Amino acid sequence: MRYVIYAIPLIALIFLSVMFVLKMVNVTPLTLIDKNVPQFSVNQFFDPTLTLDPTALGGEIKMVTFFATWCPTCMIEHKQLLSLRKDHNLKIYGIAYRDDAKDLQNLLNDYGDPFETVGFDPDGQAYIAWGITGMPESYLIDKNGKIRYKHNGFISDEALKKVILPVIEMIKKETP
Amino acid sequence: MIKKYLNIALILILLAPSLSFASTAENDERAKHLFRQIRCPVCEAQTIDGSDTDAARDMRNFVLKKIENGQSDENIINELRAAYGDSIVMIPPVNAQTTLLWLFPFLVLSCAFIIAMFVIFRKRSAS
Repeated sequence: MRYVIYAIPLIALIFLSVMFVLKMVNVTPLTLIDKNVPQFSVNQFFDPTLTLDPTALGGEIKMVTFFATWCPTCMIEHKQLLSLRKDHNLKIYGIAYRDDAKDLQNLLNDYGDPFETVGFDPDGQAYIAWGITGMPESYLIDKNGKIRYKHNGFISDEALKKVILPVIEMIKKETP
Repeated sequence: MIKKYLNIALILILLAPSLSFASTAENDERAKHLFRQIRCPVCEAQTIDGSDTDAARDMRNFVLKKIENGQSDENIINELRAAYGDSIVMIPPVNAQTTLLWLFPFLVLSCAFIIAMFVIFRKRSAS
C-alpha cells in the first residue's frame, strides 16, 4: 500500500509527460484548419499596384507559404516548392515577411521562381492574420477557399512525399 | 454677443490639444494592459510587452492601430484568438476544454498533501 501511495506522483508525472508529448505533435495552433482564408491584403512584389488578398488566390487547390530570404530554412525548402510547382502543378502564393526586394529578386533569378505571385508583408499584417508563429509555414487551401492543412517548418523531401503530396491527393478527392 | 461666442470658440480651440492628449494617454494605458495579456507568437514564454522579436513588435503595432480605430479590448483579443487560438492569451479562458488545465495544480497539491499526511501519520504511529 505504501508503494502505491509513493507511485502516485510518478504516475502523475508519466501521465503529464505523455499529454505534453502528444500536444507537442501539434504545438502550434491549428486554429484556421477548416476555416476560410483569413482577411488580409498585401502589395504584390512584381506589381506593387496590385494586391494579394483572398480574391487573388484563385479557385483551385493552392498553397500559401510564408517565407523570407533571411530565413535559412526557407531557403532549404525552395527546391521542394519548385518541385511542387513544376512536377505537380500546384499553385503557390508566397508571402515574404519583412523581406528585402533586391534579395528576393536575386533568389528568384538565381534559384528559380515557384510562385504564382509573391506578396510583401513589411509590417506583419498578413503574418498575424494567418496566425504565423515562425517561418517557413505553409497552408494548403482547397478549391472552395477553405484551409485544409498547415505545415510548420520547412518542407523536406520526406515531408513532400509522405505528407504534402498525400494531403493534396486527399483534398482533390474530397473536393472534386 | 458675437464677441462672446468668438471668445468661447477660441477657448475651445486652445483646449482641444489637451483633450486629444488625454485620449492618447488613455490609449497608451489600454495598449500596455493588452501587451501584458498577449503571448508572443515566437517566444511563447513572454508577452509581446517583453519580447524583442519582429513578430511581437508587429503585434504591438497591430494592437495600437486597432485601439486608434476605436476597437474594444475584447474585439482585439478575439481577433487574435481567431488567428492563433486561446493560447495567444497568457491567461487561458475558463471553459470545458481548459477545466483540466485549471484544476491540475490543485489536484497535484492535494495529492502531495495527502501523501505528506499519510507519511507523517505512519511515522507517528510507528513511534
